Amino acid sequence: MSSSTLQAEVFIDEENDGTISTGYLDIVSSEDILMDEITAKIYFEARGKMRGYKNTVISFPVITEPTLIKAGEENFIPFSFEIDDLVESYEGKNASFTYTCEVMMHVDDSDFKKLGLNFLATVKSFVTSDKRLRAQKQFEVSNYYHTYNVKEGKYDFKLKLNYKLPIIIAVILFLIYIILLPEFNLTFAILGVVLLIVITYVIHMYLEDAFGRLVMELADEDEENFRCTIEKTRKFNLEEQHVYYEVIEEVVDNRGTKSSINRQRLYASFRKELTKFKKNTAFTFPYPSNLSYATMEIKDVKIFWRMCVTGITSGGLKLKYIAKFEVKKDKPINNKEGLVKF
Amino acid sequence: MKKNYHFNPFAGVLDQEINHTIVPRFSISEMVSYIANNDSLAIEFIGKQGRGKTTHLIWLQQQLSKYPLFQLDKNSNVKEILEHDAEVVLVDSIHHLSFKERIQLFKTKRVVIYTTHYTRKLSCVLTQKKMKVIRFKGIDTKILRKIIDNRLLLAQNGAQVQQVTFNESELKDMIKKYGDNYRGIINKLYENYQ
Repeated sequence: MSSSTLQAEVFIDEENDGTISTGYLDIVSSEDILMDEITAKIYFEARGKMRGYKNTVISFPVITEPTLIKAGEENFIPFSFEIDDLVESYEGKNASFTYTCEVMMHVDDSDFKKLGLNFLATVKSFVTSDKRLRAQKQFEVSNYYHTYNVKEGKYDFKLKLNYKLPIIIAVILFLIYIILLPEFNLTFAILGVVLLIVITYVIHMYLEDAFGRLVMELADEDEENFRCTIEKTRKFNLEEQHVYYEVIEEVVDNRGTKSSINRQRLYASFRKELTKFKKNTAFTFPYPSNLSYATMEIKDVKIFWRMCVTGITSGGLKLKYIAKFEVKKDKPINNKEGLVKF
Repeated sequence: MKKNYHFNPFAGVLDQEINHTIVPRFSISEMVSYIANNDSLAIEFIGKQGRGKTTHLIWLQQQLSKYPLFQLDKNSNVKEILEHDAEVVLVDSIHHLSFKERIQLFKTKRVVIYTTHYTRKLSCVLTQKKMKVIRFKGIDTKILRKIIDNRLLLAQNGAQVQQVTFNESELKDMIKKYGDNYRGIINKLYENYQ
């Protein structure tokens, strides 16, 4: 068995000029080796509490003609690739997006024998079933020089169902049931469930109508803040009114026979009190310092922002109004885009 | 710990990686024999959510790739399955078909291998289909260890990484908390590694 060694490692440069990214392949071999062909692929992977997803973003040649790898030297083979309009790398609670650069090296048949099997000991490269050598590197795609930009416009709030409401109604119905019908009766039990759904729906609709329409208008203030103006009707009159916004990660798990949803709050702004709230009132909210939270939806992963208004009715029931809105990343201020690192 | 892995070892795997992570509950030769020796057969993968029914069905289809797999959702109907000329079909989430559609399916296809939370015995009786039930129930530390080890091995980014292992009592604790809900255990480990 030969004691030849070959090590190959991929490096991706940390910054690019806008859309073109650069990197190089660093090969050290104990023998002179002729590479017939070297190709590369950039993969995007989405993984998490969901079905894994992988696709090829781009394929490109690293060398276009046979190249000699000189023994005992570090051989640097540069390459470049164009990445434009990519989903950024993301490390969330229930999902992650990553990019991998995979380089495939076709060693000339006559030289392949020189390598023997010992070079398999290298960590980052190995042989594929069709006798090609593979080296790969994960890297990050992030637009660090961007800023958030809220989608300006008017948004309607919707009343979120308070889950205490059906519980209270269920308890009342249950008490009525055991007072009037001490023995179990399936028909009345089913009727009770139907009544619960109907009463909950009717009360919810009544509350929505009783407090009237709630609207907000969003506008960018500067690179770090946005302005939210909330307009209400005269009917909207709650106690302890607060307003805040939150960023939610939503991952749909389609792995099994039945789907389920994992929601996680990634960020919540501080709560602002809605005092002297007559007709409309305006607030300035800072954007989060973490720049991975822009609105997006890819495969089973979604990130969305929502403004929340909370308050308590005179009857003591807590109400929450929510309005989803879109936040994108603005174009870069300078030409340094698509920072990639590993 | 995470730097030793390409990705979180307990994240959902790609379909093509299932073969590296699965600890099969049945052998392929057993399935081939059932399919070959029955004129009319329904093979039911039954169990609660997160027990591995869909994973096994996808894996089975990868091994027997001449038979098509239909992964149904709420917008699916039986037409697309009936129009396929295969006499053996694999159907994930058969509950998305109505009773009438299931009867149609069982009457038309010689062998139907499907996943379900509840038994479809009545449909089989009405269509005089022989039934083979594979229950996805139960767990032991040996299988759980193998599943976890397979996932760690798949995700690790170098042969020289020392394999993380879970001891018997840690595995027993997981089983005590989540029972035979493999996905529940895997999801908990995902959170620990994320």
